[in-house]
Amino acid sequence: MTTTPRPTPQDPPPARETLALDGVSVLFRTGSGRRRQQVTAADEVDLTLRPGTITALVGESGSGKSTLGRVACGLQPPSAGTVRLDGAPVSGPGLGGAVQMIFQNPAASLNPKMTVGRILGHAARQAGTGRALVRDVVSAALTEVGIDPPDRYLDRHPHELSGGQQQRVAIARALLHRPRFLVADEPTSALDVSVRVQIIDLLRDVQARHGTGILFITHDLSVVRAIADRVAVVYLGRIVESGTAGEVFGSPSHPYTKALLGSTPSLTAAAEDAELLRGEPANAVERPTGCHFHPRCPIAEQPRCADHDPAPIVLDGTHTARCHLAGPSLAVADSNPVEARRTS
Amino acid sequence: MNAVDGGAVTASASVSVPAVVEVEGLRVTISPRGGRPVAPVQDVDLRIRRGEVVGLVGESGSGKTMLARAVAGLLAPGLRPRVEGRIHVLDRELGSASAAERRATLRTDLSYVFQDPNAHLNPTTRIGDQVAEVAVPNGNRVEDLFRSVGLPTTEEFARRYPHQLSGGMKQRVVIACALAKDPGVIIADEPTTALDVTIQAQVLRLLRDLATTREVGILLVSHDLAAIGQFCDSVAVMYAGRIVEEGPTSAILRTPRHPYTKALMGALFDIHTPEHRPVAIPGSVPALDDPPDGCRFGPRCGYRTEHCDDEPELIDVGPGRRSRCWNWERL
Amino acid sequence: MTVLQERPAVLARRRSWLPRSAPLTVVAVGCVVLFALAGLLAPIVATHNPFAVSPQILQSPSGAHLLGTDELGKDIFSQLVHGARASLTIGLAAGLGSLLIGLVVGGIAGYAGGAVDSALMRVAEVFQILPAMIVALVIVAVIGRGTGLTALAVIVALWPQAARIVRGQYLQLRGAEFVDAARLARTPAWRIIAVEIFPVAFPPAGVQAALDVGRGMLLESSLSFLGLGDPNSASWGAVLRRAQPYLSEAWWFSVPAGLCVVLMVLSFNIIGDALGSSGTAGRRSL
Repeated sequence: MTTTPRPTPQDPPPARETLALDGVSVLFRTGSGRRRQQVTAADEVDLTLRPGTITALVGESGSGKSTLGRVACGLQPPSAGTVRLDGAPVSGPGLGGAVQMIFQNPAASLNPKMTVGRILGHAARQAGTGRALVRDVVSAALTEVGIDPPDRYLDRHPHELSGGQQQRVAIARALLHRPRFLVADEPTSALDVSVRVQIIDLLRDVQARHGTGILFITHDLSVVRAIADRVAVVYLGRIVESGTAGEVFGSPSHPYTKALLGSTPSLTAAAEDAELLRGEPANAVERPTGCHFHPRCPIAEQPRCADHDPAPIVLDGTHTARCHLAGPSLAVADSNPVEARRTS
Repeated sequence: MNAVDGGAVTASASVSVPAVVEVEGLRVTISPRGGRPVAPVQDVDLRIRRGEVVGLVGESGSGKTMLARAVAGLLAPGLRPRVEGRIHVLDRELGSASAAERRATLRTDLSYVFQDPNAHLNPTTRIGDQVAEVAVPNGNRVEDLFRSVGLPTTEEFARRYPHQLSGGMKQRVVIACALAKDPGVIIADEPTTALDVTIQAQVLRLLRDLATTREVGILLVSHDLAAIGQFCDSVAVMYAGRIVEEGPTSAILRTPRHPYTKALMGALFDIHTPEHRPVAIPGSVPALDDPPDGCRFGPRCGYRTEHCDDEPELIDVGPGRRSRCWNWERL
Repeated sequence: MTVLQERPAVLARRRSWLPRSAPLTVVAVGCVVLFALAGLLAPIVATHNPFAVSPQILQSPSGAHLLGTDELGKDIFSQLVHGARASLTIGLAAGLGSLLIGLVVGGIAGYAGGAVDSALMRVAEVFQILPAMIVALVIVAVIGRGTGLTALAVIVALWPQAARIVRGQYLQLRGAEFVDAARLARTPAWRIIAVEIFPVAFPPAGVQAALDVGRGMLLESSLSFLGLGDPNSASWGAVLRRAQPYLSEAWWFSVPAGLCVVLMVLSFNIIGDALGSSGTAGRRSL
């Protein structure tokens, strides 16, 4: 096989080898004239990815998790804050070739007019493979993602592949660039249940074999629980709880995390056990005052939760939660009182 | 054809509860332009009782949506569909009825909730007016309907337009519309797939509660076995156009008696048992125009025997349970 | 890693360039081929020299003159055969020219977006609201008359429509995930515009180009009819213009030329529509 050498999992990566979002905010302006609005998709988010680690970013639609994913791979420049690779600020699509992305809709992520061979051949050339080696490298990449025999697929167009095969080709394309980090944005939500497992296994395989750090963006906590090393829960552009998977699932501390856990369908629990959230998610244009979650929160204490914005509280080790009522410490020292109330 | 008596029976439901939908020997054949005729639904018996939520589960290509649409008379004419077999809705046989009678029955007694609430709601009409349009002729009040689906009953809210609502709220408005004509049956086709998890649970629980309080029979079509498992009385699992297993939900999830059901459950990640390693189902759903001989699931099945070269019938495998597998006892 | 055999649930059928059962399209294509051949082989097909004057003026159709003669005794059939060459040339030039400008301007506007897009589209609008006839008049008045200049006038009038369609495609496709993937691969912008998006965006523009061939021929005829065309050309519009005084007395002078124009414009419209609905056009955004 003619693959180029990659970092082997045996070498433990130095601790400073990270991809970090440092106080990243993303604001979008929509509409024009009097209907001009500002959407806060991300609000001073800190997030660190480490090699060989799967970090899950969990949230519902409109939480800003996909925007954070796009920032992490350089497709979306942050409005404020910095993206750092090994401590140095980086920008531009792919952050200088360090990051690739796996998209939600595999059919849309492959050019419909190009064959598999051409799509991957272009990626290989772009990654610096010599012309003579392209075919071998592409075949090896297809074999690695479980498309075998590769020759049978090189001349096919994306629409001639199943959803699972399309996603495998997309992963092969990303791997050809030998990325240090992968952003996978809902990579399985467009796929059937029976195929979902295969793609997740493949991503874990990639992580283990190449020491790739993966940012796994999803709304599905059951997958997160099974594969993630670290978890960050996002609500309205902010990380409300984060920690290792053990910490977050072992003692979920933010009421939103608890609600997500309770709402996740399961074969092994009756629905009646679950406590459901009231109300609908607020929109990112008019975020509630104080703690953004307070209008839906089952344990909110007035007026504190409506007036004061909770700062992240360190609960234990790397486990933090952004809630006045989380953990032993109930300090509100860092929060800022808000004069005007704008409840939506 | 199998006796209808062996159909889906809820463990709790007594036999005297009348069925609102009874389907027997249903076969749907479509002939899309430029393609060969294929039968995405074959040999289906289905029964929904008052107050019961029946889940119809399957992956894409299983024929579940085609089945639901055939019952509701909503098959796209462009597919040139042909429906054979008997469909009773509230004791009226739709197969032999005239087109006008069929439409009248479906209009008054059956509501359909689509995956995308935007497909149902008129973007230029206030939501209160949209619900009133159906509710008032049927002697219902918009306020009552909004209350029963958990929407605000204020005048201000009723005057909103669909675009001013979130996805979950829109789906509630659609459900209010569905209830407005006091139907005997609601067919909900992936009603929560477009919604967030926290909202999905709310909407499914709402449907569950409405079945009981309003004595409606609900057919809940979904690809999500876990969601179905939590909110349905009974389940029918579809594979390649046929129901392969049916029965009370709890019994099926405890002891699946068809290899496909078992494999589908095994492929799920579960939030409460992270140590469970899901296993993919090898192979893929057979193409409609090229089904395998014998059991449709045979080529992907780990329990396959020589017997499976003959296609199995749905056979009784327990109280109210049927499975289309020769080897169900070995599972 | 175990290899799992998967198959797409529904294998997309190979899309044919033309829809299967469309007799009208076949007729339209046949017409175009026929006229194109006639134009190409004009010296062979024509029975007379189209410019040869004779004393037999305004003769009705006969064995000697299939479609009669004009006011100078020239053979009308031969003029129409040679006219096919002139008209089709201008039509094709219009279609290709507006497509080319449309692709470049629309592609840049749609991919760049923002201020570039606004500026280019305002320019296109200016051309779009000016009636084609006026644009042609200005060109003729300022530069002069000639086949090339007629083509130029037609292209100037037609390109904004093509540009709008291409721009819409690019605007929609630049946010597509496969374009994001290309950007992550550090593909240069020109390559994304020309290699990644172009093949996906092209079909609707191609449909527009087919329609533009018809529109171009119509416009050329109108210009010639008004005397703004190439004075030395034997295009159908030119024949029509000279037939003007004899409309009532010599139908064979005007009607066949008019039919030629109608038939060609109709054929290109039918072909354009067929391309648009055959699925090769993909999603049309306008």
